[in-house]
Amino acid sequence: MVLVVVGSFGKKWYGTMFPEGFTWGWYRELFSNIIFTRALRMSFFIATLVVIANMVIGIPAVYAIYVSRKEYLKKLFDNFVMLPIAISPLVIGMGLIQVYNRPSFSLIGTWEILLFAHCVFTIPFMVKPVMANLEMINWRELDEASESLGASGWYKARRVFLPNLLPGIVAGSVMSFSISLGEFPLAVLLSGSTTQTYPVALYQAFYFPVGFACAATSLLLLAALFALLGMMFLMKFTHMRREDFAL
Amino acid sequence: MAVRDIDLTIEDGEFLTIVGPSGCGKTTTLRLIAGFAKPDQGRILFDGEVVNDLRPKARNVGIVFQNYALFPNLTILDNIAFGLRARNIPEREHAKRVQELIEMVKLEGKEEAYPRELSGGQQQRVALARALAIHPRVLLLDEPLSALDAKVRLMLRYEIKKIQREFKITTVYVTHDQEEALSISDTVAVMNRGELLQVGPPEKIYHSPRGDFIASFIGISNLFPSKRRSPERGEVEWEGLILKVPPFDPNLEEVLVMVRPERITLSMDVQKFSPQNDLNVLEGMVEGRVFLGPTIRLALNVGGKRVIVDTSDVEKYRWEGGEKVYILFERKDVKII
Repeated sequence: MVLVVVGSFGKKWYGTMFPEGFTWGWYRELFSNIIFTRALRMSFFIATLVVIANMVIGIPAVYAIYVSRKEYLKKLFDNFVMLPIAISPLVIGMGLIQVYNRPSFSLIGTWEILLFAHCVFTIPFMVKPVMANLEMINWRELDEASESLGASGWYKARRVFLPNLLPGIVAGSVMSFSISLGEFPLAVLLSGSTTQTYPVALYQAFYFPVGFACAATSLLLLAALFALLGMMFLMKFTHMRREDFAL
Repeated sequence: MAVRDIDLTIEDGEFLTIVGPSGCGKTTTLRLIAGFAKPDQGRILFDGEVVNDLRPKARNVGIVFQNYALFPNLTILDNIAFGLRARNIPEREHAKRVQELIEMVKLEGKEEAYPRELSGGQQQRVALARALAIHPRVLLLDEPLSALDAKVRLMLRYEIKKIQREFKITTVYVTHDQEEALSISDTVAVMNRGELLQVGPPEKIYHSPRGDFIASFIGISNLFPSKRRSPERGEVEWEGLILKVPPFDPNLEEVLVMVRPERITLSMDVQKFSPQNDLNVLEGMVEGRVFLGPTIRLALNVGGKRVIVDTSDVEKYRWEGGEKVYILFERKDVKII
């Protein structure tokens, strides 16, 4: 990884251990290349929407299962939720192509289908930490305590439920975001030329000069680094510890 | 755990403790009062008003949980003020009350701390203050001291009682610790297997337990299952020996006789006691000895059965085992249960 970053600054790099020369040129080219900038925007766009969608779908679902107190529902949840991870993304992608690639109704190539596929694929990473978080804070008792003190449903959610679920939500969001950002097989199957995500564009970068490819890859590494830093920052900011992430 | 046939009346300002072994239904009873459980039959009334259909939120009960259930994301101050804020009571009206409560539970200076920074005992005090902040009609405590160590428990026990007296608040306390129940309550209700067995002041429960379960559960008792001999004179037969007991109901064939360990005295020398009418003298052998600090608990074999004697004469009875001794207890210290 270090070599890739180093290589992104090198003028020439043929068959030697280290590249020669120093230039910002590759990065300039990268950012003036519309294929890549558009792909980068698309990746961030999808990843952000994935996080929002996962929160909107995942949190209420987890809550409903937890408060139902039904053991079988919980077991069903635990098993089902891991399915998307167990199934290879290629299979998910192929399946989606089969279903949604009709002559009259083709969703393949749209960003919507990719969003959908990414949600399915990343939702386990959102709901697992959130469910673990719920159990860890012993929500049942906190709910009863706040209820007996006179809190309405909305007040409980605002002052107790969501704030204490923050570690789980943050963990789930960061995971969903990172996975979506770097996801390749589904993106390559489902996105079109204008809706391709950054990893797909990156795949083509290897037809470009080495320096360019290194620069393109380094950008993705940078994004990953930021995600990690962001997570650490959030952990510090909200007084969370690693255990809270239940990862 | 289901409960049955509960008929319980609690007076204004009374401190009632429901005590019983784990699983006896005491927590269920508490949850029925709070509104977290609904009865299949029967009514729950607050001041004569039926509250069966009222949600816990509407019943205005203050609850102290075994595991404190403090809100981890809020400071101590915010925790205590939670109920008042949830009911939209303006800040200036409740600020004074919150401050009073903090002082009452001796947590001044800790207002900005978070629950995880406090000890168990401190957390429980916050829980208590939080429950009292909303001016509850009833204060419910579900084994609040079980998670604390012995010294803290003792200290907090009396603090709770003191605060209860000051606020004159009707309190229902649940515990499996019979010593705790006896020490702080105005009234004790003993439960077992979902049923209410006996309700009364601590002294009554201790000295006149109704049935062998209560006799064994509350304090330690020596039970002598005997056969009637003379109900008017107060004589029963146990293991071939005659015991002198208070006069009892002539309809009883089987008589369960109970003596508390602290009511029994020991003597090495039986000749010292001229045959008295009201004194039971039995021969026994020391089997074991437990040093409790202020008292010694001896296990004796009397007539083939285990008898426990508590004596504070620590110096005198340094027995190890095998010594022959006489146990003495007076007729008036015997209870028929």
